[in-house]
Amino acid sequence: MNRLWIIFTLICIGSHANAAIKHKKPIKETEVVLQGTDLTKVEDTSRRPLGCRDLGYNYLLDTLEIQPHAVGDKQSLYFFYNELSQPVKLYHMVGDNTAHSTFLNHTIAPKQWAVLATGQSKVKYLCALHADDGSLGTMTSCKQSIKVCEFARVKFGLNNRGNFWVVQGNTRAGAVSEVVQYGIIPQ
Amino acid sequence: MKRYMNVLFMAFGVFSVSAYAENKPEYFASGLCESAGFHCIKVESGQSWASLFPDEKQRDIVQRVNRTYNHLWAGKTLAVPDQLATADALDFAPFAKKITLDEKQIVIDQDKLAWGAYDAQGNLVKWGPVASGSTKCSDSAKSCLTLTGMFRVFNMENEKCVSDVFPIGKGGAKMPYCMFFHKGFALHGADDIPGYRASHGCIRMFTEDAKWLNHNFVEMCSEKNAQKGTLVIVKPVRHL
Repeated sequence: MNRLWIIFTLICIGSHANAAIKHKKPIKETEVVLQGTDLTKVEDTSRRPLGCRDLGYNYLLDTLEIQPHAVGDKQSLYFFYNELSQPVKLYHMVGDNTAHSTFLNHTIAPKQWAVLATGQSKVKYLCALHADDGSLGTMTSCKQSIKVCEFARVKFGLNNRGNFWVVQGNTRAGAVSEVVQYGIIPQ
Repeated sequence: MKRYMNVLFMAFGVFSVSAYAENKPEYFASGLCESAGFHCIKVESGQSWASLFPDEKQRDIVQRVNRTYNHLWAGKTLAVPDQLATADALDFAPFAKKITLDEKQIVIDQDKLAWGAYDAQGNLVKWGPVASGSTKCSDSAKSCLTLTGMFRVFNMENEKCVSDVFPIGKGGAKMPYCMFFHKGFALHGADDIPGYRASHGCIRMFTEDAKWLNHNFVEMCSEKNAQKGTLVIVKPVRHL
C-alpha cells in the first residue's frame, strides 16, 4: 500500500513540475532587450533606414502628428525610433469616435525601432515614459524621445493593408527585415 | 508513514485544485451574475437550451447574453435577463446604439466578446458574440492573439469556406461564411463559441451571424469601392 502512495506522489510531483514549466510566464521582448543589450557598445542605430524619409509627420507641442496624406499616399509605413534609454509609451489620441474606434497604443523598448502601417489621414500620439507600476507613466516630449520617418511609396498587398503595428521593436536592420518578411515592400 | 502520506496527498490535492482554477477560462456569464437586471441559474443534468428556453427568440437572447451556444452541461452557470419575455437582443447590445460615422463598419470588442455592425449613418444594426484569439494557442507554445487595428475585408467565401492551415498539418477546419480582413485573419461562423477567447486568431461568431454579415452587410475590396472593403476594427484585449 505504501509503495502505491509513493508512486502516486511521484506522479503528482512530475505533473506539477511539467505544469509549472508549461505555464511559466514568457519573457517579454522589452525584458530581453533590457537584459541583453549593453548600451555602451551599441553602434549608431538611430540612423534612418535607407529610403525612409524625414517627411509626413509633425511635432506639435509635445505631441506627434502623423499625416500620411500630406505626401500623397493612401497606405503608408512609419518607422519610430526610441532615442531614450528607457521604454517610451505612445498613446493614440482619438477624436469623436473614441469609444468605437481602437487605440493603436504601443510601447517601444529603448534604442529600438517599431513600425506602424497606416491608411488614416491623421494619427496623433502622446508620449510617456514607461512606468512599472502599470500607471500611464510620465508625459514626455515626443520630439525629445521619438525619431520618425516615413516610407511613402510602399507596396502593400490587398491582404496586408490596414492600421496596425507591423514591428513591435527591433534593430534598424531587423525592423526592415521584419517588414519585408511580412510581405510589405518599402521602395 | 500512512498518516504522512495522507497529509502529502491532501497538500497536492489542494495545489491541483488551485492550479486548475488558475488555468480555467473565465466564462462571460459569471461576470453578469452580480449585474442589475440579470439572475443566474445552474444547468441541471439533462437540461438543454431547448428545454430551458423553448421560445426561440428568448433562447437566442440568452445565448447572446452568455456569448455561447455550445452544448450545456450540468453545473454550468447561465445569466438570464429578468425581463426576458419582453426583451429584444438589441436591448443587451454592449455597444452604443448611435455614433458619429462616415462609413459603415464592424467593431470587434474582445473584452466584451462581441461584434457590432454600424451602418453609414452610425446606427447599430446588429450585434452578436465572438470568440477571438486565445492568449496562448491550444496546440503550440505561441500566442494566438488576434491582430488588433483597423482593416478592410479583402476577400470572402460562402458556407463551404475551410481553413488551409488548421488543424495544423492538414487544414480543413470549417470556417463558414469567412470574411478575410488581414492575411489569414477572418470573421467566420463556428459551432464552438465557448464564452471566452478560444480561437487561433480568427474571429469566430454564431454561424447565422456570419451568414447575415456575409450576405447583407460586408463588401470586399473591388474597383467599384476603390478597393475599400468594409471596415473592420479589432480592439485590443485590455487585461491579458
